[in-house]
Amino acid sequence: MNHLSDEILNEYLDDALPPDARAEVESHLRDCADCELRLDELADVFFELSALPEADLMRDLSADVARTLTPQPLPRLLKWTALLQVAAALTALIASLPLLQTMFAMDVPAITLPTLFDLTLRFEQTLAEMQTMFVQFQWQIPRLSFEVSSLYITVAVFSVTLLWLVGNGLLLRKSNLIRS
Amino acid sequence: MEASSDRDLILRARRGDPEAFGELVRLHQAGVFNVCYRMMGERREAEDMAQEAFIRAYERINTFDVERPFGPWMRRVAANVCLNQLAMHKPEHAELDEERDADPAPLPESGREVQEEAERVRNALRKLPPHYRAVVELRHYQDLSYDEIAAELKIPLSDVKSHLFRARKILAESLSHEPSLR
Ligand SMILES: [Zn+2]
Repeated sequence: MNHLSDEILNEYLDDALPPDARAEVESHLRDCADCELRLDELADVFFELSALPEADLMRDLSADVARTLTPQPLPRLLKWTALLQVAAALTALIASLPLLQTMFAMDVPAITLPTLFDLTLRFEQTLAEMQTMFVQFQWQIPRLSFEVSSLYITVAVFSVTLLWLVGNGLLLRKSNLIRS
Repeated sequence: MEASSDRDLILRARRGDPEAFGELVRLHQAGVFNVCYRMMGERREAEDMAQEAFIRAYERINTFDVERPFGPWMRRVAANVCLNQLAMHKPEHAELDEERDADPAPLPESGREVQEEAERVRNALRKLPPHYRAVVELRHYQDLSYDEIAAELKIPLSDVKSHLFRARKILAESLSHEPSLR
């Protein structure tokens, strides 16, 4: 008669055989000391594995897990950067206040946008100027054909700085929260 | 009773209550640590992997079916996390440091025998390749069927059988080389 294969013995001990196959194995085992010995040896491995006691966990993991899951506070360096940015932004705002005040106090006519006709005219003018310049080979520093006061430039620089500082601070804070 | 409180904690964790998930960790960390200890064969690594498993579980907490028991699911997650770790970093020194972390606490005579016996089995487990270790863990310690193991590890049923079969051969071999004290 054919002996039971190792695979069958494994499946027998794993309780993975259909009932009729299982009955067949059992009847073979009753008559075959060889297969019974092999089954016992395999069963020893099962027993040794199941006898392995659970080890004690030496420390509580919940605090470490919680720390990883909750968003971490800003690292110190970033915290200071953010603080400095806020301070700089506020200073810029205060510094620009008098300028803004004078600007609003002045009877400034609303900035009128040039019409398309004006622009074409200006463009043609510049072109004509360039042509004469070209003809005469007299190089000059180009000039804007309209007046820009230093007040406007100062206000613009302050506004851009303010926007950059506040915006940058917010963005850094946000990405830091997402990362942690 | 316990299951219903797990369910409660999971629902609270989903609503963003950090305390609730911490409580789940406290309730299940011993079991999860033991999965990782059998899989990794080393205490420190096992603790790290147990932590990693809980973090992974938290990320998937919204897909978990609260009507099913949390413990078994958590232990399966842990086995998978360890298998991935082992497969990524193939251990170069599986057999070099068998004594590397016997349980630190000093024990009375009777306890020492139990400890040495446990160390024998752990040494034998350490000699298994990662995938064999995973099927042994899921079959012998988590009591999963062949089909469930195949689904969990995403491998064919035939691989489950052959991995188990070969793993037990290796185990029988190493256990007979280090005969029991009993
Ligand atoms: Zn036989």
